[in-house]
Amino acid sequence: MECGGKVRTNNESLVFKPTAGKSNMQELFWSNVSKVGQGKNMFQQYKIRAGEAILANNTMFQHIVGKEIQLTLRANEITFLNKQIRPLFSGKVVQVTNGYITLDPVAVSLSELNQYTFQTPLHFPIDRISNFITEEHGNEK
Amino acid sequence: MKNKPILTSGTVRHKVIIDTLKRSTGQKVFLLIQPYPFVVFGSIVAVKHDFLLIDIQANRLSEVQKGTIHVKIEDIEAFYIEAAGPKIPTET
Repeated sequence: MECGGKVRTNNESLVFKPTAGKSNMQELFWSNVSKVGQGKNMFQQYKIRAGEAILANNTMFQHIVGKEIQLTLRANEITFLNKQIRPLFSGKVVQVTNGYITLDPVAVSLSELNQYTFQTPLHFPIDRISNFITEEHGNEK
Repeated sequence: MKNKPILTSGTVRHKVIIDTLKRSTGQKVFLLIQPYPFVVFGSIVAVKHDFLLIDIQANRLSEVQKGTIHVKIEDIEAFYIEAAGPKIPTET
């Protein structure tokens, strides 16, 4: 990129921008072909759904809104009701923001058969989530 | 121009949670954390750097029943803020 005869190198700029491929992230972001809806670009759709713009890194969580999931936290174990239990939560995703996802209703598995259902929704910070399992089969069209 | 902060996804996620907690100062909050005391329930006093100050209230699930606790926000496994949603049960 040349401006005024001076070539900017990557060492000068703070953010390194790779120029690989024709369709960059911006084009991907502004295209109006997505499963969420037609006629509006992804940015507008996510804004309508979440009330704020969802980062490209967190769009994966946007696709699971309204679905039943079972999630595992990064903690080895949590202590709840004077028992050491595995951090397995199951519930329906009702809200996704850039920082956390909300499950309502949400239950924690105390043992294989026993579950404790919380009387309130719970927000889970995305950084503390290790993995999650969706109820539906993965290869949907 | 210099020292422009670069926002990675990790810092954004952290910032969103800090902002959410800051916005709900004075509200009642329920936390699940891995270290002792495992369950924290009380009202948010303030957010200082990356610590959350909570005035603990008596609760059936919690091991600590009173005092002011500083919780590191990174350690929060799950939380709920009682703003407009359902009330947190408080029976002891």
